[in-house]
Amino acid sequence: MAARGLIEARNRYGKRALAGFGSAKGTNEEAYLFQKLVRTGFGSNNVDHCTRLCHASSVAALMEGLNSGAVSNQVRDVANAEVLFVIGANPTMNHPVAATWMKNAAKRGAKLIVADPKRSDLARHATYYLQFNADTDVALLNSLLHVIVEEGLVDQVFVRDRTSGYEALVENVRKFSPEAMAPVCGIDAQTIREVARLYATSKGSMIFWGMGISQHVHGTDNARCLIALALSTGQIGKPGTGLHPLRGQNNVQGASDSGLIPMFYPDYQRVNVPEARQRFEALWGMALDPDPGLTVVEIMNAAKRGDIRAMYNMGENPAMSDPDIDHAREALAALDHLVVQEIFLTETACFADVVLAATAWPEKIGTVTNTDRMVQLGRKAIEPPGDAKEDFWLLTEMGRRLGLNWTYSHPRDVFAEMRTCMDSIAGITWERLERESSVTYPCVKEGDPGAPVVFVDRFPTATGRGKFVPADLIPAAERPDTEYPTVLITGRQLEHWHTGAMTRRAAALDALEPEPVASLHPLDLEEIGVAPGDILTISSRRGSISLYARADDGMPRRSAFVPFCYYEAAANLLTNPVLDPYGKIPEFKYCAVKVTAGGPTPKRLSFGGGTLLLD
Amino acid sequence: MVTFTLNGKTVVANSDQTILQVAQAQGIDVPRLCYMEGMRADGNCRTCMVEIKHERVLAASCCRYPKEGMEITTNSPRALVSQKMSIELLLSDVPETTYTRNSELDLWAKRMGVGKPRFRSRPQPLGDASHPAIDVHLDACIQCKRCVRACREEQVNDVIGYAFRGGHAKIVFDLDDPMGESTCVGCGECVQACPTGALAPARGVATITPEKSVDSVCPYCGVGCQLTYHVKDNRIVYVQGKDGPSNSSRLCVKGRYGFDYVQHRHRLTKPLIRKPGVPKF
Repeated sequence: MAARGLIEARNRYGKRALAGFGSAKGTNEEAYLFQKLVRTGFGSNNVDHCTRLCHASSVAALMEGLNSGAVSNQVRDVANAEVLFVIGANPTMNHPVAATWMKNAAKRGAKLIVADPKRSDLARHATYYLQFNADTDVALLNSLLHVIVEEGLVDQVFVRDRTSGYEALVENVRKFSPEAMAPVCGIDAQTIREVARLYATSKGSMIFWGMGISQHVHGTDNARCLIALALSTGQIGKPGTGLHPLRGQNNVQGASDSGLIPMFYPDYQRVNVPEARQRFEALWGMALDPDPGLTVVEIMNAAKRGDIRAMYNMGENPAMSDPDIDHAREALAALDHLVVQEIFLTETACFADVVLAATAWPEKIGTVTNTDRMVQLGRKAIEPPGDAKEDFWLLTEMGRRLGLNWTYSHPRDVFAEMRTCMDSIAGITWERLERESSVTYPCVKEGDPGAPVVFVDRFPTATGRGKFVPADLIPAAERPDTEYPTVLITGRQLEHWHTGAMTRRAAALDALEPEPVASLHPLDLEEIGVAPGDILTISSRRGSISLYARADDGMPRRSAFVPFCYYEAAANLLTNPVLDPYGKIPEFKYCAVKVTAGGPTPKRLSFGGGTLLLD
Repeated sequence: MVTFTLNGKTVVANSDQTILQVAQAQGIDVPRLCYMEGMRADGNCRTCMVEIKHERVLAASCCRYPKEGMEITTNSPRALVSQKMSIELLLSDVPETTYTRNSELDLWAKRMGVGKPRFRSRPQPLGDASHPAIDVHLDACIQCKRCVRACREEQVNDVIGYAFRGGHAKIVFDLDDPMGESTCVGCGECVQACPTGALAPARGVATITPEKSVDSVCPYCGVGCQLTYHVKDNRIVYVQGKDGPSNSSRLCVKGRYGFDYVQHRHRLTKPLIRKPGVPKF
């Protein structure tokens, strides 16, 4: 039934009328099978996953500059660093254990620079906390680069031997003096100069960033500036330095590595490069679509237009996670056939024609890859409930029904195939994972220890050089105005994961954060006449939600922060579905809203509300 | 490297290893409660006392480093009396009911042959069940301050403190607030560090004997912390941090206490097909 609808759509409307969303919560083996299913069973490259919503722009910039989308150094390398520069990330909330290593480093004496419009708990440990104006990342970062160039802090030898395009960068940052940028980004020129000197001259400076950098229409430009900081000062390629985009999902690194991306086969081999396509055509034994497929938001738009007619969605929740979810929900409803593979009847599953009951993480075996490039083995602890099936089984059965002669009997068979087409993990054996639980890639030959620090001698580009790509100021797509005077920043909170499907059904977490909240500066709350705990309403040009007010003096003035995990007050009803032109990532971190006192009490439906402990 | 004698045997060890660590490597049991591997040694429980020849007083082996030619005895009558007395005094502080299967105090009392304590108990504080994930039973607290180090030095959340003086000294959250009302972020590092169950996972699960323990990885964020699922009757009973390369046994509130979604009643247990004609929107 699930497969039949997909086959019918393929036969009637053609291969490109089908699309699949894989999952960054599944295993590497599932991700690999899923993209192979779409590329060989559906017959197009219309496969993507939530990396599009988190670090797509970072990866676009990293691939462009360094031809590698993964981190250069691991989090615990902070032990060797003198300076940590954390921008657009809230690791105490979103990567709590990684944050503990950063805090340990700060206590040891490393200098911590935290830059974020919203002051996080980590700022308490910072030597410099830069509360720059939201949306002015490029202004701040280019002014740091300006100081580095102007004050002669450039590592000339590194720039000469390891990089290209430096002259264009020098030319570009000339107009971004700290004095000129201070009124734009809201950080005084002297502080910008001090931070630039500190970063450039230390023995080891590491950069960490999160969605605050990536989820903008200029997300790729933001990341380009960070890469330029590391390249111009030679703060990369040795312990205690480097670039670390903090990956969100437990397996977003692995799902991306495994090819759940419309423009890349596994291991970031481009679908529009004939040699790469031929390699996979030979391995998979059939002709493949030579053109890149559509990305997450593009697929939703195509579904709304009727160009995409059927979809297979494994573990994603676009009806909650996409920007402007009213639009996303209409798109899902417009599909002729939607298959959803899930553990709960999520907001997305409600639009399905067929729902396949799947397994949760502790109910299956497989590998996942963390932000540090560590491939780690998860083992099965419990049996799934009722007739819920392992995702591996569901995927292979779907493959067979779509006419693929798949003979995998265990995820280890899939991993073995992955090793043959993914050079970075070619040396990792299943037996070693069973023995050691964790192996860092690149691990090219069996027995290799794995490389915690990469780019030591060269970058994996054609010339071996890292490329500077200058960035200019591009404003957010929707700026505040008199009608919508407040900036909405969306994000997460410590206790809840993304769209809340798991954590709002976890009793202790539900009890800790039961209700939807919006954080505003206490003075802003006072201005609109709302006390903490009262209900307020936030409206944008796309929608409106009512939720409880929380005072947070770490918030910048005239802005509101809403976590996107609450179905009863879904932040993404408000967000703006404009995309970064390179990474195709939506601008979740900035749109214009108005905040008013009062509104209907958020509904308390089937779960959440702090009641689970009473069950 | 230093050469010294340990219980009459000549030993060569690195000079940055404590006497306790060397003894452990040599297979010699020395009781310890405030000491925990991977944490700064604090030397406050006084159960690891050893005798060093020519020294007037016993030394806490967890924070003493061997020197060239030292003659150290861990099992001399004087050392043993001191070790046992410390354990007995701590035992007299705690109730007979246990909050965890893995009480290190009970373990060492048994190993050292310390029975029911001869001393009167202290006035016992009340429990605190204000936090949804963590129960506080300060009656079982031996004030080893492993939780303080876990909270302040490992996770650097700076919530747990050690307040008041003398006999009134105790573990507090923020300004002696109930745990559930404090700024605690629920990482549970203190629970993992507590040797007596004074800080324990809520609703008594630390007293359940799991049928099996399975090593895996946390399903939430990209840090990739390794953990161990403890399972009974096909249910995850509790989760502990495992010594993985990215986490060294540390976890956060989601990884440690957010596992029961898998047994939520909303779980899909069979495939579903939309009935013909039922609208989607």
